[in-house]
Amino acid sequence: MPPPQNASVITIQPLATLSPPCSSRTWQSTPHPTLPVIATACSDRTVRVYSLTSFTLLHSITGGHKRSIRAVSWKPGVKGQSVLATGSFDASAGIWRRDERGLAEDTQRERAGDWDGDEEGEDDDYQFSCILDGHESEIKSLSWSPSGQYLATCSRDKSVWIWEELEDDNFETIAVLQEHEGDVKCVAWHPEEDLLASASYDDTVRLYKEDADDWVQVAMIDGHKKTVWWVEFEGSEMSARDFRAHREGLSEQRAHHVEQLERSGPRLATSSDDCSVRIWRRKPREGSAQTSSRLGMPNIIRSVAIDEEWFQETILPQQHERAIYSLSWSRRSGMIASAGSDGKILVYKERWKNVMPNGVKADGTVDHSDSDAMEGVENASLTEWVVVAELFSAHDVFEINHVCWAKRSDKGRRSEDEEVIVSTGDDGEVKVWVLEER
Amino acid sequence: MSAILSADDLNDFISPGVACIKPIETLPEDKSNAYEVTTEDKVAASQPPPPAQISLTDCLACSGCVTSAEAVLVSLQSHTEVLTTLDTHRSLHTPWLAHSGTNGTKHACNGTHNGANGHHCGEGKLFVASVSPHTRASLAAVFSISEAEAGNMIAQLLSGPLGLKNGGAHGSDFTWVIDTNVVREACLVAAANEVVTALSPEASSTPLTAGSEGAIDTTPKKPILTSACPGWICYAEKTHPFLLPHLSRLKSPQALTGTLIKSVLSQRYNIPPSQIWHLAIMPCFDKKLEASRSELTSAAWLPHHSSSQDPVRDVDCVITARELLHLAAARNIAFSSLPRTPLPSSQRTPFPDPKIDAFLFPPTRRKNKDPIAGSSGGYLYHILQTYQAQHPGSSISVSRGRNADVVEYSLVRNSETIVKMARFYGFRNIQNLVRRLKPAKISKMPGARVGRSRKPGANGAAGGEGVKEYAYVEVMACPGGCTNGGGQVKVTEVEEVRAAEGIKAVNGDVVVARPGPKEQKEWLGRVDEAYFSGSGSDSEEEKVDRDGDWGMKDVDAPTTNGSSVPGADVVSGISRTHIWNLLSHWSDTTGVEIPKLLYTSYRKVESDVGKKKQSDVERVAGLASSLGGGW
Amino acid sequence: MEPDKDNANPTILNASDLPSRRRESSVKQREDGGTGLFDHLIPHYNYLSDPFERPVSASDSDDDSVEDIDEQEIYDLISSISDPEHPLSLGSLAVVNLPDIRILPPSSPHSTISTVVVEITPTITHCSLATVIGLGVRVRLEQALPPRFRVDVRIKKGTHSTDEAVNKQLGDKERVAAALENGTLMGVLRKMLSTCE
Repeated sequence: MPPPQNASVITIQPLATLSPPCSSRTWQSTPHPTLPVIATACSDRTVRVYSLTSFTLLHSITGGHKRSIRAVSWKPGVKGQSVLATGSFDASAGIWRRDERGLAEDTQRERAGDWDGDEEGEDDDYQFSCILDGHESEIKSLSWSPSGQYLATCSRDKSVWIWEELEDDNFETIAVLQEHEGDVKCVAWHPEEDLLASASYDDTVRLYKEDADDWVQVAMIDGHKKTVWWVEFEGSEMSARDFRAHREGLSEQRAHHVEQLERSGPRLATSSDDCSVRIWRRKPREGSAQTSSRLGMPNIIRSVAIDEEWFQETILPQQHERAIYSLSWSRRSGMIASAGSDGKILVYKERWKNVMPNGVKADGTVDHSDSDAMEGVENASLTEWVVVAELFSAHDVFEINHVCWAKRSDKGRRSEDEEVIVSTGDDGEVKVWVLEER
Repeated sequence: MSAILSADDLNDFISPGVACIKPIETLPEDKSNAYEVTTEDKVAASQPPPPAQISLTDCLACSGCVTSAEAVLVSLQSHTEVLTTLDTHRSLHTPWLAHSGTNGTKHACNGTHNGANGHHCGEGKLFVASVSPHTRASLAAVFSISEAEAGNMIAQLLSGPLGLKNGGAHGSDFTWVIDTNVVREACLVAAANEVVTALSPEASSTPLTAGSEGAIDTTPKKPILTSACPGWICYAEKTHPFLLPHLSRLKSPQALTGTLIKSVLSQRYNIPPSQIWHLAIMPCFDKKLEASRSELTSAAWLPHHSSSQDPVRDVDCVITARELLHLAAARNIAFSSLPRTPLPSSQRTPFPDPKIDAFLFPPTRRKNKDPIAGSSGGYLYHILQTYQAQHPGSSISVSRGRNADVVEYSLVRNSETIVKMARFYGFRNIQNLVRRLKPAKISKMPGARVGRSRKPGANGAAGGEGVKEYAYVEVMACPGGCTNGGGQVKVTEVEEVRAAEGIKAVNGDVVVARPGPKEQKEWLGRVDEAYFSGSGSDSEEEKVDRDGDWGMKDVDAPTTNGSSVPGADVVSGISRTHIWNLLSHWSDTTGVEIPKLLYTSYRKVESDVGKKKQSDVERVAGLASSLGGGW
Repeated sequence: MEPDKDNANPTILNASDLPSRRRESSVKQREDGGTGLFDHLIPHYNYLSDPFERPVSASDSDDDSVEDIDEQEIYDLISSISDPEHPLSLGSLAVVNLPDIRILPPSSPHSTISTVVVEITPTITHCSLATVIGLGVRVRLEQALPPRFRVDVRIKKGTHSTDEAVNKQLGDKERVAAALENGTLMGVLRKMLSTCE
């Protein structure tokens, strides 16, 4: 196959492999919200915390879980310490803490080049602080809400649980959501609202909100043909950072589109066993909260139905040949990276499509995509996603279980907000990649 | 939990041979039309199947396929089962008179066997039904009638001249329709007694011997947890055996009704338990599981039960409100057209024992008037009121927890808290209760490095002290309690049911195309309203209670509850002396000790059942094939 | 436990009638020092050169071995697996059949990943052990084949009442991984695979 005609204007170049690697499958790597470290969930029942500055192992969290650790999530907004949640095939989730002063020292020492892993004392380490059990079978994913107030976990037992930390280590189950008809693969929180999404073996994605004490399903997304492996929301206020940032000279139509997108709020991306990545968008509600608050009107009418309507905005170019296990939506650039069983990493970018005003494309074909779903929202196909980079065999012949964007923190960093892609594979390796403009 | 099991889903759940490790072909052949599933292709080919072997223990034990196995059990108790039984057996209305030969209903039966489960062809049965108030409330809300009227209609269906009597092979019908609220009064008094006794200083903890946790003769540990909800019991036995010592030993009203009827009639009137067919109409599918428990059979109370005798269940079949409507429809009876008036008392068959007759069929209906007591029978509130009666001048304070299904009650006098109790409804809240009752050891991760600053056992136990302080916790698996049981008519079904009955939406009902959680809540509100309703056609009913003011922070000591002297006999309209007299009478009549009649036991359900006899392959087959695919 | 067998009287093929290649297999079980079955499943590929040092998209000369593995080879690897219920091999029970094995070459010159598709035929349409047999086949192949092979094990269409559900389960990497951490399941798999050379 010739390189995609979208012309990979960008190449994905290796920067580092985190060292030492795990000797067995690694599942997921999650960057710390503030510090230059990344935690990797390993099938050998450990979590490895690596430095994104030196790309070396800082800590190995061992003991505790009886089976593979499948997922890790850092609690956001914690002062003075780092809090990590681990989800395991042993059906339990663990909460681990570490004093952050020690971590700052690590970073200093490391920068000074005299880091010695053997020196690590007990105080330095991540300490087990509590266990959350209740799931009947393997935990597949977990995620803290952006405020840090809630932790969502999901499992093969088909349920999604929401936990609230009332005080340190005192967690309460505030919801057990049993809407899915299969294995729940992934949970993700909306960046601005307490809105939770879950993806499942039953091929659907479901969204939940709290309604007077009770978390209830507010939307069901049905479109993928096979297991949905990953779900992730777009970052907050991305219109200021991605292709929408340049507003000068936008046609009225495009300006309207940007406004519609803003009313919808952050979109949702999903990846599936059906080899597709799809983008979903919330249908803005008439007189919705966002609108009325912007107009300074008191929102006295509590939404009669809290149900939301999400529709498929687009399917990304389909260049994966096998299950897509993971995707990541850059909080900086709005680009999406995806990876999966075929060992490829793809990077997609959204841009304005060159469309004639009447919906006729430049090449003369008429675009009817999603016209049914689009009532009230004018032409959704004003934009298109193109593959800007494609990398084969990123982990040699092995499958890639997870891919994510992280802030670049090594010495070679070219700008304050430069990002790297971190991929986690069946070979036990976690690799860091940079994007090079051609 | 409970919502998982629904008759409508059964066909999805049961896929024999794939769904259940107990080979489905061991189910009795004659039951095969009780559930419409494709049976394994070799069933037909195989030699005659052995008798039914699936027991509750077999099924619950393989944690992987619990739901499907439960579904099998549940499917065996259905409205079709009711119809089949009515069609197979004549009803014996007064079999205790048959010995003198004065009763014509004892007909000749040539005793041919059809080989099905030992049922005798055409053998007469005494049909007894017990109806929960929640079921009446559900139907009342559907048909916009009062709970009392719904009760009358159910009685008309089961026993009345326009009801089941009109059809079927033998025109069989039910001799008695008992309100479980009546028997619940005995449960409430016994529950209060159990808690007061267990927590009294004298009841210094009798050391539990290994394996006796949850046994009938042990005293439950504080906090004592309600045992009336079968979904909760099933969950505790399966996943949290450390809870068993906390469970109240008391039978549920459903079970106690069964024991009462069958023990008295068999011990005093020579009607074998197998000849009494007891149907319970309940708000919840899990009640079917409860009815299947081996602890709740004649083996538990028959004084001379020998192992050669087949134990007979105290409750033979459980159906829900929806299934009751199916039952009526199957006999071409429009439920809504049944008279809303009570059956004339002249046509009533009295229970042969006058004392028990007076208890079972009181002249006035029992009501659930006080929303503060909750929608699940009011165990906690009754126990609390019993304490209050012992502490003159005390008052009950109620505070809502983090959601409507967590409510804390305390009895205070001046600044002293006499006793604290709480209500935890719904699976998520049960999780929090369970976690706080969990022994510290279990909640630690072995091998994990624990921070020095953190006391072992402190994890998850913060706030745990609060839970351990409760004397009693009313636990129900369903959010909203029993009125929201899985077998109740759901908001999504109301229109369908009404349409089937030819009823238009009633005043104020907005037909919502796709009812959501909000509509469900509003609907539950209406069911609750019916459950608590004091109004209705029969306004002459006794006012048992003063009005409860839901949401009020402090409730004054009730003044209508007799004299507020220590140990007041009448609590919430129920006389303790009266109930204990009745229980003694029951015990005397049957020759069975009261505890054997009142209490039951629980046991840890192993996750690998029959380890000894099961091969790895079978266990793997279980793992491999449970619902949703397994492993 | 005879009476509980799903299929007490399966059709058995004569071993000498089964297709076989009487020569040394070109694929060997990897020797990575692991002791348990599970260890074999952990991919170790230390001898591979650093992928960063070679052209990412090149089809190397290493890949000449691609041609060495054919359907017969795959068949030989899995036909000797024992049935979990019968003391017979999957080959002799015709659960695995040579015509139902396909090897799909890499879909692009940039890729080195080949796909092995094996369709299994359960002895009866309700065989509750279908997922276990499928798992055994998948595990055997993942163990014996180089990691550049993706293994897709499916139930042959129309031979099982819930074939779609079983296929989905067998294709789910995460569930397979979790299943292999289940001691009981692994005990049975180990026994099934003990008859493989």
